[in-house]
Amino acid sequence: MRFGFAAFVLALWYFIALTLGGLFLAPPHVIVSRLGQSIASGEFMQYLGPTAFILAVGAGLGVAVGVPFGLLIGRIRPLYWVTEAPINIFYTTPLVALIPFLLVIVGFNYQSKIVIVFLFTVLPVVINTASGVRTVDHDLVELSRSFCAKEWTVWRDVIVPGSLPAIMTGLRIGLIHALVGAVLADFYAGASGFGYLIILYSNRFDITGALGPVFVLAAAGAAVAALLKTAQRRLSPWQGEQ
Amino acid sequence: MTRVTDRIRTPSRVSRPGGRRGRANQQQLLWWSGLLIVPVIWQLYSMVADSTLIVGPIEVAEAAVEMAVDGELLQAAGQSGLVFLTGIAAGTAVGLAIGILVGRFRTMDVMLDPYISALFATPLVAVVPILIVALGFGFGAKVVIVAMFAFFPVAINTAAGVRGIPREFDELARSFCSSELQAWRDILVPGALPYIVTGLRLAVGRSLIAVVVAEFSTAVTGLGFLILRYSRRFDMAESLVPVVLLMLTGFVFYTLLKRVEARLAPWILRTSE
Amino acid sequence: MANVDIKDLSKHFGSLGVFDDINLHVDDNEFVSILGPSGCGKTTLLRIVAGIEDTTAGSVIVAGEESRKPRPDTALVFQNFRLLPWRTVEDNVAYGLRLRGRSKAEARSLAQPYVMMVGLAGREKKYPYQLSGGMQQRVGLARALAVQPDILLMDEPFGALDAQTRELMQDELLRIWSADRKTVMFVTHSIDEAIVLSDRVVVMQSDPGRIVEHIPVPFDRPRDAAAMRADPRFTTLRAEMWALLRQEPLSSDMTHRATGE
Ligand SMILES: Nc1ncnc2c1ncn2[C@@H]1O[C@H](COP(=O)(O)OP(=O)(O)OP(=O)(O)O)[C@@H](O)[C@H]1O
Ligand SMILES: [Mg+2]
Repeated sequence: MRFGFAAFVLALWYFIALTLGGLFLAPPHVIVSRLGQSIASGEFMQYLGPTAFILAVGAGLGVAVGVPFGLLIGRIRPLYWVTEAPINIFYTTPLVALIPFLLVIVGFNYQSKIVIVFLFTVLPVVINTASGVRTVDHDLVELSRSFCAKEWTVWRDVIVPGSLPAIMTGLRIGLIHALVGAVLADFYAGASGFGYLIILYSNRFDITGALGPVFVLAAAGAAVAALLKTAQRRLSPWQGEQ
Repeated sequence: MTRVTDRIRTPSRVSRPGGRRGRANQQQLLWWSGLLIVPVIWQLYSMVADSTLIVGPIEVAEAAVEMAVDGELLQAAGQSGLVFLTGIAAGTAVGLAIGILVGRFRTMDVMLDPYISALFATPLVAVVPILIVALGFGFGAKVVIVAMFAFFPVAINTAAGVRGIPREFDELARSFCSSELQAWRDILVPGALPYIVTGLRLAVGRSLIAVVVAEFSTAVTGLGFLILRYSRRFDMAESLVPVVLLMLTGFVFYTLLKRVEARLAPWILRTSE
Repeated sequence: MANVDIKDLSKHFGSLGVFDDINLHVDDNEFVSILGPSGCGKTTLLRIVAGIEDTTAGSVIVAGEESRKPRPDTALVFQNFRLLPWRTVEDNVAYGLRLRGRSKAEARSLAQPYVMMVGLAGREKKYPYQLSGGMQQRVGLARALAVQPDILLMDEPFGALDAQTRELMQDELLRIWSADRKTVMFVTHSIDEAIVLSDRVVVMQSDPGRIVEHIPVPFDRPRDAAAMRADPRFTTLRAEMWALLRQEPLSSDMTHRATGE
């Protein structure tokens, strides 16, 4: 059934592509072969590199800052209440709107791209980590305290394992956001990277060429989501299916 | 597909007797001071920083008044608002219908779920330039982009909500000679409503992003265009006005829908016991 | 004529035969109880009459027509209430009326007398989770009565209630039924309940599910449940049914349940 439908989708795609004359939507094999050419010519790697770089640094920083900060504000109540409003406001802001501002302040360069990816990643990580810590059963914390556990043992035995599922959720959402941030950074903050490749092709009205990188990004997003889902299940088997 | 949400639930703690009032007041105080800290620091920094590019909240507010009197802010906000509302309405409507179909019919689920789940994780912004090439710079193209962003969270959460409705209500409906559409109205939509609202809340955030991206990419109308125009002229205060407006919009919608969500299904607490 | 005529009815789930060749006629305005051990197919039989389960062989004629799908002149009261959790009491009672094209306000006002009838006046705006089990079951009953069915199908409607509430509900049902007589098929595990309520008790046995006896209940109406229980005829009927149910190789669990309260 699933494969039958996949075949149907493919057939429909070919049908649309062929009736529209391939201007807007090329048949899949053409897109794949164009992608192949792009890889063979080295163009693909040339544009992938910068994006991978800003992703690695920006998202890495986002996680490195977001998890400890989330743990901290999750554990210390006054800190949580002070930070709740600003964090929520920034979280609900369409961060894209800040990009032109960042470009003026930071510059039309790598640094601003990294800042963009960082901002996209860090907020969901912080929010989920903090609420994970806050959901950890208070009774368990009290129990450890009653055994005269030190603060750091409470962290090791109760708080970190208890909030792990939430942290993983935060990482999943954060990394998917990071991907979005990287594409947007490429769009607006400097003529490099995968997102810029899409723009280049689009500006030449070459939709077939532009769809190649889009597919790669889609695959990356799906892979990140699937990978972290699996990791989450492995790391916290007591959680069951969520 | 399970429910997608942007954060895990924090259960409201049972407050301990004694000092409840005091604690609540203290929380309120901290919350409000947190809200004020950011603009205050920002203002102080802008006064210390020796650069015309760093503008403080006061300058932004002045610029806002000027732009409001001028009428250009209202015009841009109207343009963006129309795209936003039309797009999110269209995306939600389609998302609801598809979500109910996927949640209700096994065959639909098997056929569509892999695509919906995969596309939800895709950075859809990557498609925006292509869509603009294909559909043009007009209102229609922007609405399609926004609707596409709104569609996925609504569809996924609706499907998860519908799946969670006990099958026995189906029999109840049938035994009273309910038609399929009546069952949607009486059972599927109300039963999935808490999930649908979560989906809608996520859709609001994504749609705002979509509006801005679409306006950046087409660069002729709306708040996004205002941001671009002023920042290119290095008029930082003016360029931040639409940004703040967008922030407020996002925050207000988010808070409102969060409230609705919390209030919506009092029976859930009981029936899950 | 609101009668039910079941002829040579068989039902199998795959290789599992629930029952074969069931024959049962329920007259217009007759109150028939179906009494039998767990798993003998009572629920299945009722669901077939309600039109939400299909048959393997044989026929079910409801009010002169072959029953294939749910009909507007029958209403089913479920064993486990099945109230819509997101609707208030009055809107749950009005559910069937809404489905018949009434507006919300109209359906509510038509439902009101039934809310009163089951003794829930003043609780119209409550949600099911705010009600006790007995109250929830009464909402289910009112919901079925509100569509004014000619035939009422009830599947162990009081099975989930405690003994005391159960007797109160029996009295209530007796009262409602004598005010507005309908054809009733009433499934139960409880011998006492069957005798108190019905004109006739149909006793079933299992493996395979079958009807072993039709026992008329000779008490006049209106009835007084307490007086009936004190009557020697009641004891005789009770013993007779008990003997029929006992002929089965019963597990201790079933014995317990079949004796009722
Ligand atoms: N949907 C189904 N699929 C398969 N088997 C079923 C199904 N429904 C019922 N059965 C089987 O049919 C038989 C009769 O079930 P039924 O629910 O009619 O019994 P019952 O007399 O109502 O029992 P109880 O008094 O416990 O409610 C049982 O063996 C049950 O396992
Ligand atoms: Mg049963």
